[in-house]
Amino acid sequence: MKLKKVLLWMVLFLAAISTTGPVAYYTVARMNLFNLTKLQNLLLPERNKLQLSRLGQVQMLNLDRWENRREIRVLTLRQAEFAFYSRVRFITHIDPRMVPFYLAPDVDTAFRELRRLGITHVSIPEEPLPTLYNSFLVEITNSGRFVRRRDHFGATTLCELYAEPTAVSTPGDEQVSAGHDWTLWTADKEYGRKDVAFTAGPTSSTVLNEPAISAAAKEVRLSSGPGPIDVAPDLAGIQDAFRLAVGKEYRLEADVKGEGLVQAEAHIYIDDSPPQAIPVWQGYISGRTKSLQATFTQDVISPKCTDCPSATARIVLRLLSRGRLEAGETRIRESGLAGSSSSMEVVQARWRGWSLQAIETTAIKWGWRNGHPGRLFLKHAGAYPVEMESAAFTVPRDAGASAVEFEVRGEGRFFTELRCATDSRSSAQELSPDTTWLGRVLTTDSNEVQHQVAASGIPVQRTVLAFASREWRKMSVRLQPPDCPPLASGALISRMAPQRESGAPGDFSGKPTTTLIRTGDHFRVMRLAVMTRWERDFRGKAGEMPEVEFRNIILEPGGGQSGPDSVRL
Amino acid sequence: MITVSVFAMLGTFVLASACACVIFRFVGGPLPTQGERIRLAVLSLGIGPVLLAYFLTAYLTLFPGGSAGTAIFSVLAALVGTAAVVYSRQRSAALVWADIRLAAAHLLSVRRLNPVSMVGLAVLLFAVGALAFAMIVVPLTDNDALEYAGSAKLVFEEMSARRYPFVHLTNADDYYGPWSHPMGYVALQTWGFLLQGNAEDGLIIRFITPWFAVCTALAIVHAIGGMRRTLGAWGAVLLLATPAYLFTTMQSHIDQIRMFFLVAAVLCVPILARAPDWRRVVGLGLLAGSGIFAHSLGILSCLLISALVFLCVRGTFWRKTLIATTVSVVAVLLVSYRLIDNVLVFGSPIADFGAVPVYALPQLDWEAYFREARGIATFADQWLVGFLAGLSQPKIYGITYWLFLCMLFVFVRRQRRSNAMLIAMSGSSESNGQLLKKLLTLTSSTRIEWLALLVVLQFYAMVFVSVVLGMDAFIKNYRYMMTTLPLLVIFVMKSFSPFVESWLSALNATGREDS
Repeated sequence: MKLKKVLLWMVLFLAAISTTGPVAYYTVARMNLFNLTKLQNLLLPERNKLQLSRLGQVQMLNLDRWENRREIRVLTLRQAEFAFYSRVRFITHIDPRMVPFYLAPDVDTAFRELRRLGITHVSIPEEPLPTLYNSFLVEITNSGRFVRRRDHFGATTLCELYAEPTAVSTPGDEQVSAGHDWTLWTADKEYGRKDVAFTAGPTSSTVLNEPAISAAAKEVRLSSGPGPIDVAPDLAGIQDAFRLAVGKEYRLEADVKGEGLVQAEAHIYIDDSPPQAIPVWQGYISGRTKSLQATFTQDVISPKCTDCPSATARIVLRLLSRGRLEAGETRIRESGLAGSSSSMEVVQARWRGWSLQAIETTAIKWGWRNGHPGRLFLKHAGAYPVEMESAAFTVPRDAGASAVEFEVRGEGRFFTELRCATDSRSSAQELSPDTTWLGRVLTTDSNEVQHQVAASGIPVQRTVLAFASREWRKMSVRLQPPDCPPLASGALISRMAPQRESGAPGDFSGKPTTTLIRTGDHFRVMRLAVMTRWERDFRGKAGEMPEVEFRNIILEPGGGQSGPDSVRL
Repeated sequence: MITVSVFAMLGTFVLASACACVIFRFVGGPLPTQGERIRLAVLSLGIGPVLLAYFLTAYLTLFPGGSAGTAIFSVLAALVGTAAVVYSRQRSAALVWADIRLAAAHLLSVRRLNPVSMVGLAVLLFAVGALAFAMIVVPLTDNDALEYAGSAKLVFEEMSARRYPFVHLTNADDYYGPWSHPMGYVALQTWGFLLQGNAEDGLIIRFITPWFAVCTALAIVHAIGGMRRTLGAWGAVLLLATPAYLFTTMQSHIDQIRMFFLVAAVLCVPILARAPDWRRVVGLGLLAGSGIFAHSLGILSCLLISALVFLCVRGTFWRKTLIATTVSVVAVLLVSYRLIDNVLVFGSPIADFGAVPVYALPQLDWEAYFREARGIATFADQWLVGFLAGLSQPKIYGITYWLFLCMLFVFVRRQRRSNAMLIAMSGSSESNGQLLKKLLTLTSSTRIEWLALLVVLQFYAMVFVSVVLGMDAFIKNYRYMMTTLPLLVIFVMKSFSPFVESWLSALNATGREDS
């Protein structure tokens, strides 16, 4: 009988664990959504808890800029948070008043419909929805013709629209490549799957992916051009091969047929670098042929070139779910933005500001603009063994600033470092021509940042400060920019840590807010990156990371600069 | 102050429950047994708030545009007034209070606990505590909860239910809510906002769903036999610890209300079957109708209840049909205003995706999206992932459905053995059908697991037929498949009880011999 007793207690114990386990797990998971595992946050009023949220769609609503602006109206593909948490005017994508937009015959009419409804912004979540990928919305939100600015809040993207679309010179007549020259397709099969059938060869373009259960499907790819996908296609002898100039905006048009979740990408090959993928379109297709069209900007460059040649490209179609995929004609056309000799200038002009939380400032070419002081927080998610680096803020070199002054508190060893922008997507983290960084969805929680460190040979100046203070301390760093080679630099992205663990009500924290800026080879941008680097071995939990805050960042002007005296960031 | 309004809301819920107890006591008809009286008292905890919501909806529809204070006062006055009128017609004034005390004793008495029930009670308290904690501190995040709250915000700000649902919009309007559910949940949220005085803070409305989750848990405890039974608390634990139920409660979904009324109606079917008084028929209809009042899928529960009534009530075929149909008719009448309004707004009483013009646009091809995005596109998907979701998706449903399968097997074996015994004892060989009838018409305190099992099987038969016909209406959403979860839990625990009891008694018998 003793055995029975022991057995009973064991079963009882197991039952207790298996029921309290899920309860505890979900409770903690819910609390983590708003950083509430730190006890002092529990008592905050709800408005402040919302500001601590890790959810992009909630973070987006925390912007000061929304308040009391009646002229703003957001077209949103998820109205839930707008309905309850915010006073911002909005319209949901399935609203009947949007029907004329979906019925519009061309993109300009569609844009006019949006403006007629008073829509000034568009909010897009990450998941593909038909109102996005099967309408002109995907083209509008990706084109510098219509979108003035794009911000990312976690997985949610917020696009600010122009009041009027930019004029187009010759709309899309210039075709970069003739689709019918593309006769070679290779199917890239995920290894080990028996139930994926594909027909390979020079003229075939169909892949099948039909497991018995949808959940078991793995990804299959079709890429244009000969050879494996990791290497630039050898386009010798092919007329008008896909060569895409830096900074230019292009339109991808492809006919796809089949079933399943398809993603179209442009893979860009420059020098010997591994290809970078620009996602262009993602959606569900079914049955009939879908002629997809979407816009993208070629913003991948190589720092090795002073006069960057065009990059070669492949179109890659990925079948992300079960189904089948047949690729037909694909074309890439120039999007034909009006402008001066180089369409890049126009593209630059479109993407102007970048925001760091509540701070706004303008790229230096168009003059100074005073932002308002805000606070930046640096914090890293996850537990890392040794050191982490993250750019706190960046300053264009042409500012001619001679010094930067800021206030800081927190602890850690940090240094200021002046680095040259090397490629369009790199942060100032590593000086590497090969640094790539997928700038579309930025959460430092996920490991989407790809690092390939290589020796650069570019001089770096560092001032290292060991720092530990709970009070605000003022610092000043003289700037002596290194001699950066005249590179074409690309988009400027500032990246911040996502979490904020403490603070008084009213402080704004949040997910990284980033904006893509296009710059071009008309001026060089050098980024001043103030970075923090923790050198101790840290094995704790995410919430326990040491934190450094910066505020009141002021650039002191250098000589010969025709701007106001100083710029606050 | 927010905390004050939270206590005020919970206070009004308790008041409403007391009124519901009075009213349903009357509806419970003449001479209910003690078990039936306890049952009605327990269930009135969940019926109360919905009664409140119903009065509020009626008030905001008939008298829009008043002040919050007038609304609160009128609704409470109507509620207490109705209860008072009913109370005055009771035979004895002390009956209701006695019912409540009996129910409390039945549910909460924790004397003579054994280790199993003690651990169960501890786990239950932990689960309820964690649930309450998560609800209080974490703001709403889920799409549905926020949309309902957005609707409630608009209803509160306009102090009118006439524009609900928000489908025909002017240029000044933002929110678009094309769903055709009656106002049950939205009215409860509006009530919270009324007590709070504003619709800015979401704390108060996060108490609604847990209230119903706890009511469902209490109903399960009662059905198993109260806290004194070894597995009483474990029933509630199994319900709350099923991941789907747990995280939907934390996310303030609407399904908890619908599921409560399904359980409540099933538990009241024996009361009806014992003595089919017209009052009881109407009462059961109102219970089923309250499920519809929360969520349109309650119509499905209504059908299940009617079928169960048909099986359980004694009499001729026509009598049974009449009673079953009346139950459904009363349920539909309760929400008739909403159904008629839906026809005016949407063109049909229940509107699903057809009501949204954007879904109908062929160039958007929503069909492909709905088919592919849900992961139920293939044949194997529809059966393994769809129909057998409870078994194939432990991340969502836990082990509850596997336990159900095991207990079903045990149950069938036990029934066949006891049938054989009955046949041997009575000397005659009754047909299985007659035995079934005999078992079904037993009273409320016994054989509740039969009723629960029948409803679960009916539900799955419905889903089976729908999947065979190629419809994905049930399998597309895990919350629909979760409908019969509380009944499943009752069945599992009642079937498991004999094992535990015998095990414990074996231990006790030999306890003293062990050193």
